[in-house]
Amino acid sequence: METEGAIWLKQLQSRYRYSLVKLLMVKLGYFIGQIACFWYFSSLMHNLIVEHEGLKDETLLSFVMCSVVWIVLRHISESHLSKLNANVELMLQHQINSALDTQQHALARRYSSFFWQQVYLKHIPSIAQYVSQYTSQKYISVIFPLFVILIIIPINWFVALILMISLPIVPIFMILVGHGAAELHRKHFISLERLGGLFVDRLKALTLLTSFNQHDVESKRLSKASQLVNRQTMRVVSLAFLSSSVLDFFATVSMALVAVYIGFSLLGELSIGPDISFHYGLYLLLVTPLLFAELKTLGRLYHQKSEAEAAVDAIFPIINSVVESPLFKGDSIKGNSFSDIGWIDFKTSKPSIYADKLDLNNNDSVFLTGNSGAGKSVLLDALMGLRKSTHSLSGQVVLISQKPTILPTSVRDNLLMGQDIPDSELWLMLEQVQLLDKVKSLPLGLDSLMGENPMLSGGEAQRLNLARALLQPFDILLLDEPTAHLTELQHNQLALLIHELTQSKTRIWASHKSLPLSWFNRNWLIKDGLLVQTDVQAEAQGKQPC
Amino acid sequence: MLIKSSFAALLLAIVHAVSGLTLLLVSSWFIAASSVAGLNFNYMLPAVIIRALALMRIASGYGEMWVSHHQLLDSLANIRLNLFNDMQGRSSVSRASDTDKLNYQSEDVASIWTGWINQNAGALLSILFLTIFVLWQLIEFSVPWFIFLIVSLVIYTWLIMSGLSLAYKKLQIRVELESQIEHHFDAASIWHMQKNLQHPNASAFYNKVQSNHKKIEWAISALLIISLFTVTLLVIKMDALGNYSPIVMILPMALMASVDWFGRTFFSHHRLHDYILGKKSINSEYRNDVIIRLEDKIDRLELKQFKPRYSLSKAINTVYKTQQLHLISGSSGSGKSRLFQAISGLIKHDGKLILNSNSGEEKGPEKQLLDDVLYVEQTPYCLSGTLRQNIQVAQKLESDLLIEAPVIKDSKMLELLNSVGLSELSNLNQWVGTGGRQLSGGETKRLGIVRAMLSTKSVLLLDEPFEGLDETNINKVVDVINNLKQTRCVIIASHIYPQGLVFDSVVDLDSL
Repeated sequence: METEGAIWLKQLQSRYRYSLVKLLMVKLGYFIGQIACFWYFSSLMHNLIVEHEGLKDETLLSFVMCSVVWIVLRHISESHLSKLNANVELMLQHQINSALDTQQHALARRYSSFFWQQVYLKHIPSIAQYVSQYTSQKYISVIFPLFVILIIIPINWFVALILMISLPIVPIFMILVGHGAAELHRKHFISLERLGGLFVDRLKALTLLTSFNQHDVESKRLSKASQLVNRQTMRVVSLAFLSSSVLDFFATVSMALVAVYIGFSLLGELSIGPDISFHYGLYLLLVTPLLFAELKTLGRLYHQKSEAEAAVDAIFPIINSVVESPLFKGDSIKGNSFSDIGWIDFKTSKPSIYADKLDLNNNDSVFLTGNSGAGKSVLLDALMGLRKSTHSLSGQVVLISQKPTILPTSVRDNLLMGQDIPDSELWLMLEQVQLLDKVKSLPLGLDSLMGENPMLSGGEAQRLNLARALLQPFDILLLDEPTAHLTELQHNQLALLIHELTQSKTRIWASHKSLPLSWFNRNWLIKDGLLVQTDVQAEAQGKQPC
Repeated sequence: MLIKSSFAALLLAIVHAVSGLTLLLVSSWFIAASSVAGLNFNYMLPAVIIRALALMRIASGYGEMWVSHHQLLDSLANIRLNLFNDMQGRSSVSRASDTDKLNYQSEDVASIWTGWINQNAGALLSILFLTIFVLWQLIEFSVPWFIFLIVSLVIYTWLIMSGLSLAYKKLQIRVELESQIEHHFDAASIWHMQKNLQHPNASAFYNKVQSNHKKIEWAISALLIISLFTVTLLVIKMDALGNYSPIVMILPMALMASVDWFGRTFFSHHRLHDYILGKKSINSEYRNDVIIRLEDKIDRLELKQFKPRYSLSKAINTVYKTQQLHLISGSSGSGKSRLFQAISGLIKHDGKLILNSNSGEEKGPEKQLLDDVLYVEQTPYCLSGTLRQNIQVAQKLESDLLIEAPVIKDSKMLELLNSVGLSELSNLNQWVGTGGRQLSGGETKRLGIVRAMLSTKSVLLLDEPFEGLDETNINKVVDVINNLKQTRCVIIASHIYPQGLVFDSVVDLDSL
């Protein structure tokens, strides 16, 4: 069965069909140039060594011309390949980046930043190489040998016949051996995976090992594990190597046999097949290795296939995750301001949250509760339109998340986010979030760089985050547990500050720490995939939500 | 042993390369000689040699792959083990990109023989043998041959040298891009506020990779040009000299196939570059620090003006004694973890840390590990291994031979797991961590507590032991901590303080 990812990869290849065909044509051209070059070379040698006729100018000229064609077309084909590779890379990067544009942090936080590094630096190039180099080589290693046999037939049908019979044996052997090796690999797969990853694992565990003084024990374990892995790996590769040895075997033996056959025929010791001259004989000797050369190249590129498969596994879910626009996007287009909503049958998918009715009016203050993992963040993503759902908010939405984000740039750039705001307003905002003294105490004030490890406590960082959000023009403010990582005292202080600065705005505040109910006029509770809304006054009177 | 197999592989690689080329040359000479042969031409011997060369090439080809791979694996294991041993006493390499780097750089260093030396030795020796042959048999053709020799060696050297600086630039771009990507994705939650948001663009990196390919292709084209040019020269010279003997064939034949036996090495130089860069980075970054373990039993710790070095937080003055429970409170980012690491000696500190009695030994400010202090990380590490190994890691070693010796009884382990609410982990032989069952954040947290209970250390530093646990499990952990306090000194860093714990002292890092 073909996975969706494999189908996507095929579609990707067919998008570049035209370029690939062009590449193949150029390659075939250089191949013909090379073969013609061999022909004239053999002819020159024949004239000199056998006929003692001296140099024929037109043959030498043809040799030089064919050499030029060979070299030039070969170079062109390689730069074509390079260009194709670059095109695929840029196209994939563009697709990834547009997926990030539409889903932003909802997509980004699903993976670690290491994963994203691998996407750009490893997976995209892997797929590009597969689509350009491996795919073209796959066709070439079929077309070229057939082409070689085709031109051998008129010269010596006997040699052509022998090669034609032996040629299919090569891939058959390779496939058999490959299957055997894969089977063996599967058998040892779990232990190879586990023990093979031990080195990296123990590097990550160094603190633990140091704390318990277990370094030497683990060092011995590592040494044992690698012995075991190496033994098993050798068993697998001993078989896998047979596959390239099969190629080597046929390439070498056929050359030796062709040489002996031609030599003996020339000597008159052997008279199978048509008569042969030195010209033809030398030509056959030169051309025979070409029969196997392209298959050998394919074998060398074979790792590209498995790398591309791993890359597709990583990238396809991202490219495939593009969010379709929700059915109802408020009552207006994005960019327009927010107007009151009254949604019926609101639903997000994967994980699913359902609300039969959901209302939000201008200047509402919503308290969003639910256990951790109930889907508060999922809901907020959906409201922002970053996730598949039936509805999403219109107007400008700004989110403050659990973990404050401080860019390594200056304080000013951290606040501006590309906007144009005068310093006086920035200072005013810093005063409102009680960071005035802190920033003033920094050596360069607003120009101080925050660097990799900003000298801010958790509360200060979140206040800077708050200042940044409040400086943005927005209609609705979403708060996703902004005090989750703070102590009780800090939570109380910061929550009060947030409340005071945002009470005149439309806001949805998710928290599983307690907040005064008087701050809110609506309550949204998520439980078991259901979102239930109550108004706060009803709950204060002790009624059950319905 | 390793050296021996390296040379065996080298020898086989040379035999493989040289026999391949010789097979082609002898074959072409043989058919040339056959076509002009007189009656006394002994054709059996060359025919036998041709077949022998073919067998040699096939056998040495397989042998080389086998031996060199064996050598590669052994040397990789060796390098990694040394690297791991060099890092004794360090804190974890926690960034995935850094462990990944160590992983592939050790591979780069290990594969220098297989990837570069063996291939290049074969090609260079072939050139040397051909040169000797020219000087011995075909001295009148030495001028064209030396033109080829010099030009091709210049191409070869140029490719290595310019490739190295390109590889260095590529590495720089890569490192820059890695940190750019990391920063960009760490800031994902504020993307929606950014005007003109730009996602990472790796084209500069792709370009550098491509320009290396282009360089190789130019070198191959140059090699083809000089080879075919030399063939033309040789042919003209043969005609001019009237030297039509079959042996002359050998030179133009070798040149016609030069891309196969010499040009192939051009694709291998990136291995040399990776080796040089990898070796440099491994040597420079991972030097061994000398680690001193202070073995003293500890029943009292006094901190005087104590803080982690390079930390901007205020210094701490306090005394921790055995049978006490202390709290270090603070929001995340307030430096709790670093303070714990400084106390246990994993990182350097400023101020004083005095052991035991008032006038007791003072821990040096450099890296001195306190053996009797256990630091339980905020996210305790789950080893890729069996659950039993993950628990046994906490046992004190009586001697240095105990990989398998079961000191802790299974029933004891299960009991401890149960006490922290991990009864769902009942199979001690289950593989957990990478490659097995992944433990959740709450589960690893409690695994860390189990290890602390099993250890015999007198001072326990528990970093955020309650974060991410539900109420039932928090209560279980509280009970365990109260138990531990009966015999040891327990210090907790947390921004959550559950009921049921009575602290002997509280230090609030936020308010200092």
